[in-house]
Parts: sequence; structure tokens; C-alpha cells
Amino acid sequence: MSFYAAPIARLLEELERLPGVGPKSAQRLAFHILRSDEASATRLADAIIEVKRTIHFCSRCFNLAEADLCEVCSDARRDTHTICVVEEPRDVVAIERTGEFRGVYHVLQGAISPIDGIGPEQLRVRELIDRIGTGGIEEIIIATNPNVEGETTALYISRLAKPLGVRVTRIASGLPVGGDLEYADEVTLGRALEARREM
Amino acid sequence: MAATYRVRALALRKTKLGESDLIVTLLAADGCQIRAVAKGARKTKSRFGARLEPFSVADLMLSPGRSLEIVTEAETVTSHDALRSDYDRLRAASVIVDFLDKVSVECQAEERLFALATATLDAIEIAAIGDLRSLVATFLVKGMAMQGYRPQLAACACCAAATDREDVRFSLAAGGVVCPACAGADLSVVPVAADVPVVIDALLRTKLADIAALGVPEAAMNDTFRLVKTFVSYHLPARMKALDAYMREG
Repeated sequence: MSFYAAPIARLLEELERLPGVGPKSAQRLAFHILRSDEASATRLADAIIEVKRTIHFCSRCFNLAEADLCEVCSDARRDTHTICVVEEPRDVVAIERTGEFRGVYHVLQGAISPIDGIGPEQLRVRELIDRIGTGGIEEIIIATNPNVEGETTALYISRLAKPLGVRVTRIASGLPVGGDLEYADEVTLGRALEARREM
Repeated sequence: MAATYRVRALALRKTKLGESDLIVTLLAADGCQIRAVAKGARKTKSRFGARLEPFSVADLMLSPGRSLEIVTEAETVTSHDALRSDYDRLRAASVIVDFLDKVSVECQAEERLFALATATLDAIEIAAIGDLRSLVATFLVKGMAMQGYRPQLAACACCAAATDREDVRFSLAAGGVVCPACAGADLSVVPVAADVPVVIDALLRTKLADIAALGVPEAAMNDTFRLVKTFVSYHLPARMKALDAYMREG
């Protein structure tokens, strides 16, 4: 039995479906919405509806887009010969924030995880290979996460892409800027030494 | 405050928790499964780094939590990093950790399981690519044997009578070869090639380091692997996704 009126119970139920939101957090959010004025609540509801109605995947790179192509793909100043392959749209944002990359992206929509039953056929790998097959691509930079799933995905893509005659590179692994060497684990430190550069 | 304790463990899998934490599933050296929270493990500056990545063996300091333990320190024993730099090795190793994740239980010790798992991962790191399938099959039959499912191959698993050496039938329910009389009513019976029980017996008796020297022909190993996969899937309560993917990709 719910102690709340039906509309509040419904709101709580919907909020609890969100990732990382438990009953307590849902209650806090629901009471914040109840306390705020009607205009704020309407803005929130409209923003949710608008994002669902207008945002879809870019037909070329599968990043989030408002039009057929995302902002990166439709930008004529980008270098279309280099594709950076990432797992999720939020990884595009992380790389764009660096201001170091002027190429285009390909968002896989996940990573291969045999333990979780996620295979390459569930990702946008085929579309990436098709993109390379159309020609004009000189390099693909694989920027999947440096964990088991990301490494599996990188190895799989590398195996498919290399025979197509493109340069396949992997982002470097190493020490985070501002970190302490003594706390680095052996694998990270080993890779940092392996990928050292001349000064 | 509850006392922390030290444990050597193999990392099997990890699940995201909240903004930057992980729940790691571990196989302790005594064969018990442990689930623990590694706080901040997904941050780039995390002190855990690659120490809790699947396939890594680490010495851990754990602190008892309410439902899950909490990892307070981690020191690498073996990273098994070579498994992460080859797609075929990675797929084979994924089957090993997926199996361990499904069969190990909290507070249920089976020391041989940890030794078998680490020895198999060590072997997969250095084996020739062509021998990976034999190693995975060997691990699965030995692992099943440790769980009480050692296949009965010498005589009928139901009545102990001699079995037909040419027309071999394997009962998944009885866990071994069966005679024609017992095979009749058993719905779980599958016909297998005559050399499959011989290969399984050899895998059970051979050390992992000597598997390559057995020289099992590829066709016989493929038949054996298919039966082992069916046998494991029949008896394990959960779906072995990594094993399914391993079979699918060949």
C-alpha cells in the first residue's frame, strides 16, 4: 500500500526507474518537483519530451544528432580521413573537450563483452567496416576504454580493419597527469614505459 | 569497525556501481566466491588501476561491509596482461572466468578450482592459438569433475554394463556413456563420435602443460568440444554466455 496520493506514487515509480535512483533519491526528487513552481516542472517535462522527440542517431557515425547528420559529421572543416572509434556518445564529448582531435567519429554503441553475451553483431562494427570500405579513410584511432571489454573490441576491429589497408592505431595507456608514480599499477606503468617518447 | 582481512583472489567480472564504483566478483584462493565494492575504481586516478580487471590475480585487503565486502587495498600477483592483447586468447579466457562466476559460491570452499583456473589462464597466455580450444575443453571437464560431474566413460553410467565402442551414446542426465538398453528411455542421450569419450578421458588425465603434446586431431577436438559444451550447459543452472559466443565465433 502506498502512503502517497496516486499521482505522487506514479511519479516516484517513474523516477525509481532511472539509473542510480533508489526509493530515497526518488522521494527527494519528487518533493523537489512538488515544491517548485509549475513553470519549472513544465520546463523539465518539456525538456524530457523534446529530447526524446528530436534526438536520434547520426546516420553516418551513430553519435547523437538532431538532424540526419550530427554536428561533427556535418562540419566541413573536419578531417574525414581519420575516424576515432569510441564506445558511447559521451566519449565523443570527452575527446572533443581535449580540443586535440579534428577528425570524425564512429560510435559503436557499446563494447564486446563475451561474459555478458554482447557480441560484435550487436554493435555498429559492420557500419564502421562499410565506412572504411567506401574509401578515403587513412587512419582509424580506436579509443575504446582500456578495460577488458574495450581491449576485446579494439582487437576485433583491428583484425577486420587492417586487411582493408587503413592505418589502425590505439590511444595510449599510461599515467594520469597529476597522479603519483608510486600508486600506479604494474600494467599501467608497464604500458606507460612501453609507449614512452623521446624528449 | 569490522577487521580487515587479506585474501588472494582472481578477478572474474566487474559490474558498474553508481558514478565511479565497481562491484568485483572474485574467486578467492580457497575457491569461495567473494563480491566486493571497489570505490572509485572507474576513475582514471583510481589506486586500483588494472589490479581488479578480469583475469588479474591480486592480494587484496577486504573490509566486511553490510552485504558486500569493500576493497581497501590491492596488489597485483599476476596480471595475465598477454590475454588482453590477443583476441583469441581473450575469448578463451572469458569462457574460464564466466564458468567460474557461475559455479563458485560464497562460503563454499573448493581450493582446487582456484589452482585450476590460474594454471589454465597461465597456459592460455603462452599456448599456440591452435591449442586454445583444447585448453578450454580441458578446463571445463576438469572443472565439472571438481563440481561432482566427472563424466563416466569406462562403462554404462546407469547400469555399469559394457558399452558399444562403435555406436557411442552419451547421456547428459546420467553424465556419461550409456549402453543401448539404458539409452532407450533417456531423453537426454546424444549420439557422439567413437573417439570423443577417449579424448575426454585423455583431457581429464593430462596436465594442462601437456595438452598440446596429446596431438588430438582438429575434427575430434571439435566433436569433443561440442559435447563438453552441451554437457556444461545441461548441468549449470545459468546460461554460459561466453561459451555460447566462443562456439558461435568458432
